[in-house]
Amino acid sequence: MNQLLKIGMTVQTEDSARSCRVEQFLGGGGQGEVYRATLDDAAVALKWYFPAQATAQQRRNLQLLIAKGAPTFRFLWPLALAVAPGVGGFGYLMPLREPRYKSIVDLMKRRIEPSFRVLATAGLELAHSFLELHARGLCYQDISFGNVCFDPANGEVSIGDNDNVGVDGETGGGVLGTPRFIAPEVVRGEAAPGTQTDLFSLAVLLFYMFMIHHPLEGRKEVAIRCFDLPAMTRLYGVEPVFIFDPADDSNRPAPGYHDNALVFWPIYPQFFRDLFTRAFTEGIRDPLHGRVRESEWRAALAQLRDLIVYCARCGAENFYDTASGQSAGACWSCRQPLRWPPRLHIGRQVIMLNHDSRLFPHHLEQQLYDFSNVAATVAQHPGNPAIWGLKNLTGRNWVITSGEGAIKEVEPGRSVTLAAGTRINFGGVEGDIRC
Amino acid sequence: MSAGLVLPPWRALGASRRGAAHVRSGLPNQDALLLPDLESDPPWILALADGHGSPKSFRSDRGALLAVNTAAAVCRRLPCDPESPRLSTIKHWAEDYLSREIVRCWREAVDEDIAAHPIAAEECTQSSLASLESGGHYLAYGATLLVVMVTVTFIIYWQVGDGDILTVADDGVVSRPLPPDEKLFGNETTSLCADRSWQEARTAFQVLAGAPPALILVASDGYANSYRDEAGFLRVGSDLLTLIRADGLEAVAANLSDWLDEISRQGSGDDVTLGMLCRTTTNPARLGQWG
Repeated sequence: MNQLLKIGMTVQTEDSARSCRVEQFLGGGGQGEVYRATLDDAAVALKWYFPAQATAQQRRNLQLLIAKGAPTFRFLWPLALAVAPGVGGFGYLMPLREPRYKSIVDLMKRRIEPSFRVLATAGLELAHSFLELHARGLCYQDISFGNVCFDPANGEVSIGDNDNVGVDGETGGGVLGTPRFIAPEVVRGEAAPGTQTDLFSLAVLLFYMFMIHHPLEGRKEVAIRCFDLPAMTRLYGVEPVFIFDPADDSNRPAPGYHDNALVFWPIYPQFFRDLFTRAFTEGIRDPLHGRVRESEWRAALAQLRDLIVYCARCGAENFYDTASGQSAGACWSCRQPLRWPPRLHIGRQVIMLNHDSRLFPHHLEQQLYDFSNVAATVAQHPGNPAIWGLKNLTGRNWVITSGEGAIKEVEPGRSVTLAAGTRINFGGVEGDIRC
Repeated sequence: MSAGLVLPPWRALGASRRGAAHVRSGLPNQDALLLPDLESDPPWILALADGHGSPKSFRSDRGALLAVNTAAAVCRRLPCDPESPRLSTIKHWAEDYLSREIVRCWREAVDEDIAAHPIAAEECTQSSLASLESGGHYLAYGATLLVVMVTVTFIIYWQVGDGDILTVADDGVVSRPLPPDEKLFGNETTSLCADRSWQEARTAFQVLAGAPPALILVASDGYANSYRDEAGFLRVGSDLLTLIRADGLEAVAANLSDWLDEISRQGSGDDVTLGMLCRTTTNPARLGQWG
């Protein structure tokens, strides 16, 4: 299906005239075609623009992005402009996405079934990535399913299609993508894409990941007989109503049409649902002040990870809801009663201590999220499997105070028993175990 | 042809033939083919549906007909200004909405058809009747559907269920624009009538630039099943392009029905349907100048 470049031909990087061989057609989009290529024996991706898209403005934008560099390595960021003798237009090189990454379309179509922990990790990484992007004065403009992928095994994300990233406040006002992910004020033609509108798109994407559904597609969508551009503009721009708006039930999910939303929404803790409610009520009414910030999503998703508990009967992931108090309720999957495991409270954080729970630096210090650096793990007593503990994997001693007031030090590599009332001083912060 | 009148850049032809086994058993042709009206403004829509034909899908010939007409109606609702299509928007529309809309509208068409022509007990078996009462009435109309939507700037390929869409490049190289469907196994197929069938649909979006296809083929599974292997079937694409170039489209059109009858007789015995869009210009820039 490739039309622009021939397999086996060579293109040159514009800055250093290094040769890059075109190896394989990977896919086509609305702007151009993407190929696998080799540059100095390394595999890279090469996007080549259709003639109508190979504009001077696109070229300037790419030069700017290449000069600025990637906000984080999660972005498949433009590395170099590419030109080819005898072929019109230009393209650019970027890192090649590894096959382990799957798109959110795969999630929608149930070709992958990641755990809630993976979804929360992917959401956290997305929020963090867009925070880093926005902190550099850039905006993505086109957040949607198609350009975000994640590894269903661990939640690591990979963000593509970065050639449309622009400088916040200097975007042209053109609408990219479908109205489905675009902020209502942009759909209505009242605002240009920017960091504020990215926040709306990010919230839509997160809602999609967790509910496998769109936040504005309820009964109003079912009532549409002809899903054309005016209908889309009305649903996503002129009359956007959150399907779970507590003050407006006119657009509730319709059973039989929107079952995913009806099934998934009640599974999540209240604080997480509240954040979505704010994003799609205040966030629509007041785009400047009402939207949920990337850092808020990041903190919420980190907390969501920590609230996962497993059903003892069917193994399904459930969530401890701090708003529901001690009542464990029933497993959403098998409907059998749940039992909470011990939990660790550190300041405002609650960490459910499952058999596989781990603590990371962000739990113990004011550090950024680094899931490759484990600070503690729940561990079973080697001689008595009925006893569980929290193993110190940091480099310093913890000081614990038992429920009876006895004080003891726990050296690195040693564990503290999970007993109610135990307080642990991790150094900078203190936590207590509750059962 | 008067001077100054511009022809559309594509010609269409096709035929749908009742299978040899259907003739023997008295079953109707359960395929449906819709060729585009190339005299009208784009998009031009080529659609082919294949009714399941099993006892439980006793109205699948009607289901197939409703499917091709529904597909055409939905595809005409392109969410863009035809004067300045934004290709990214259309690609997203094709990927996000087309499937849901086609399935939803097909189901509505089935509901309306049943309301207008209620199912009589003698149409179906006792077990089929029981399944209708438990909400399985879409199965009675069950069909697969293949759609090719062509404009002057892009092509959308869409498919749910079995059957084949092939493209043939100017140099005769045959490709499948859609990824394989792993759920197609033996005679098992995904279908418009299945729950969440829109999720099973496959979509591809191709901007017309550089080297657009010279020929696009859509065929019901009866066609490919009449060939011993994939290579033999794929060769049909390049052979047809060679024939069209050597003998002209009219000659191919004149013989097509006989060929399809022969293929069914010698092969699967199933209904065989083939639709084609043949590009009439070798200049891609001309594709954007029509209209």
